[in-house]
Amino acid sequence: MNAENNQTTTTHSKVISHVFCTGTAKLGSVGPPIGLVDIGVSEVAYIFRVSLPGIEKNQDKIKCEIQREGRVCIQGVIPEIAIPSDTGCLYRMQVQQLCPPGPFSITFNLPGQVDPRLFSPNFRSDGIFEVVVVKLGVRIPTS
Amino acid sequence: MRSSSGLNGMRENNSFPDNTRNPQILEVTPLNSMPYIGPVTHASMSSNRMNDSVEKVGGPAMIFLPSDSSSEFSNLISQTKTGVALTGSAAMGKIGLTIGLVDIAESEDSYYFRVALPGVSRDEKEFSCEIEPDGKIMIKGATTTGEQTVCKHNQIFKMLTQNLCPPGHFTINFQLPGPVSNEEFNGNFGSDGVLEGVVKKVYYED
Repeated sequence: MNAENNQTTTTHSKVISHVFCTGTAKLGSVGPPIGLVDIGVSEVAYIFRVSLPGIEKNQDKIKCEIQREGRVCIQGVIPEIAIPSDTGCLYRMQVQQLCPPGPFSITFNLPGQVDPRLFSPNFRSDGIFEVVVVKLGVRIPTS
Repeated sequence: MRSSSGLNGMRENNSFPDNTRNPQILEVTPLNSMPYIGPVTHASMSSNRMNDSVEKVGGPAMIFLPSDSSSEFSNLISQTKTGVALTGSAAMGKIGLTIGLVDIAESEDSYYFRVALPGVSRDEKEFSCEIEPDGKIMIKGATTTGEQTVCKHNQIFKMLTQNLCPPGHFTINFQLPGPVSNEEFNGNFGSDGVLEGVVKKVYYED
């Protein structure tokens, strides 16, 4: 299985933009680069993880809004690509598979009602945004 | 693609050139994409809502909407139970594998590439990136997402969906457009799940 893109001819050579993967890279769901969601449930809370690669530098612009009925809306901005260049050369894109820069939003529903005040967001250092939110009406154990 | 049943994976699109209400919008051809499998909620997990009935949609579906129909879009979002709605840049990336999507750029003397690796461990024992003189790049690593059970905050979560990459080892190989000087490779696996690299070109002299 390969992630495939159209070939582009340049003045020097052809771009071979096939990406060959083995192992777990082949086993995830097919989906967009940003916005793939996994949802989990425990006795008192829900956990959801959103794939947000490349956004950590714009972490302060991420806005996560959770409503009582379980609606989650994540808004943010994908940063511009800052290519490190010592000579200030201009780069021309040959293959573009990731999301372009700009604002975005992701909206999905959790399976049940939640308490929006009791949620714990965590931006992991591997591009995954992880949030735990407590179900509505659950008495928090004091142990 | 337009479907009257199923509301999984809504995607915004700017493909109405005769829309006079928004002359600023450029005409964009529809993206080449595959159906997106949204998180499926099992009805048994919604036991605290007696009237909650989750339809079993026969496969994912997709709706394209112009960007100026925000009220229509919000109506669709409010009716969506198990789908994920993306707008803006999130709707413009290429649909593909969850890790391993690639950007490649070229200047006069260098290649620049980015690989999306969300959920990949940054441990040096588990991650490696090698580059060969002909421009072939080989990435080896291990993913940490997609478990069936997650322990966090002294609780055990049972995952209802498995969209993110399952845990385990993987390899990714792709080819840069031409030969490179692999001694002059400068790479960085940042804390945002993206691997960046710049490598000098090599011109073979006849």
